[in-house]
Amino acid sequence: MTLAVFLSVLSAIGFGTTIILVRLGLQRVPPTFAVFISLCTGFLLTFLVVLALHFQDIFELTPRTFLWFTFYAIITFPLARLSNFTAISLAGASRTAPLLAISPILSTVLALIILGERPNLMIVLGILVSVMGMVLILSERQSDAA
Amino acid sequence: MQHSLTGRRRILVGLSFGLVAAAFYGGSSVIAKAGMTSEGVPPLVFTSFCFLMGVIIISLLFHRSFKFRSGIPLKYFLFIMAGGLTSGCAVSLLVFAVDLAPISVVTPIVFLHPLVALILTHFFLQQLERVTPRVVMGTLFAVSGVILVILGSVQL
Repeated sequence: MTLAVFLSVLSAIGFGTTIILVRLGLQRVPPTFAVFISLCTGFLLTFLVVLALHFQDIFELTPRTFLWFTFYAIITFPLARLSNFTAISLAGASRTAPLLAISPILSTVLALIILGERPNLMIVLGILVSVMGMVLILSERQSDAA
Repeated sequence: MQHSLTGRRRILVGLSFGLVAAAFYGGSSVIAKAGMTSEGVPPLVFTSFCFLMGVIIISLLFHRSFKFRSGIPLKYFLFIMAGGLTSGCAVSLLVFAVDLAPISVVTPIVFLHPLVALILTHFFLQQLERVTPRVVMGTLFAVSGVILVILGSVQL
């Protein structure tokens, strides 16, 4: 459990650092090309880990699995990641990061609607608190220094 | 980035893109879960091949705009490449962590990353943007709300 917590903390630092590095790069690199570069490096890194740990699993992939990959990639990269990079370049890292973090809330609301489940008190409270946070960020009046 | 938007309007347009991104990321996690469950693919294999498909899709859609890059100093490309590496590391670490502990333990910690971004912004992006008390409060509220929703979802 301690190792899992340690890895989770490192993962959070990794995601936070990514936003800062992307913000620095987006000063000059257009978002579409930045998405392309980040995907290439992300693929190379994860593929090395896959080769080391899941080499046999590669040969078990079916054409249907590649349809899932394509479906996921269409939603995530030209839509989500490109919007994310555009948001970082226009609104800044500090304002965009908390907005992106609310994605679990959106997927929970989506699941509640689709599955027809009743949200418990903690979920309702969580959504309200997050919306308050969004309102605070969206009502920010100061513009960037740059 | 060169664009004609300025001041508050630019920030509002940016935040709108941020909300759109959050909505698509929310939807994509549902697709990822369905895909991995349906096909029995390990999460890291799923992530890696999705990156590959992403490279192909982005190349097909935007290859015409990739031509005129000679005027941009190398360091800006290196920042983006480093961002790709840290993102890949973060995803891999998340997958390993979820393998070792319940998701109710791992995800609330991982979703503290906006606070990490806020701290790093304060120290490393002072010339680009200011971290105001309102943004700090908003981030704390947003992150707390997300953690409550994750913990509440586990109880369902």
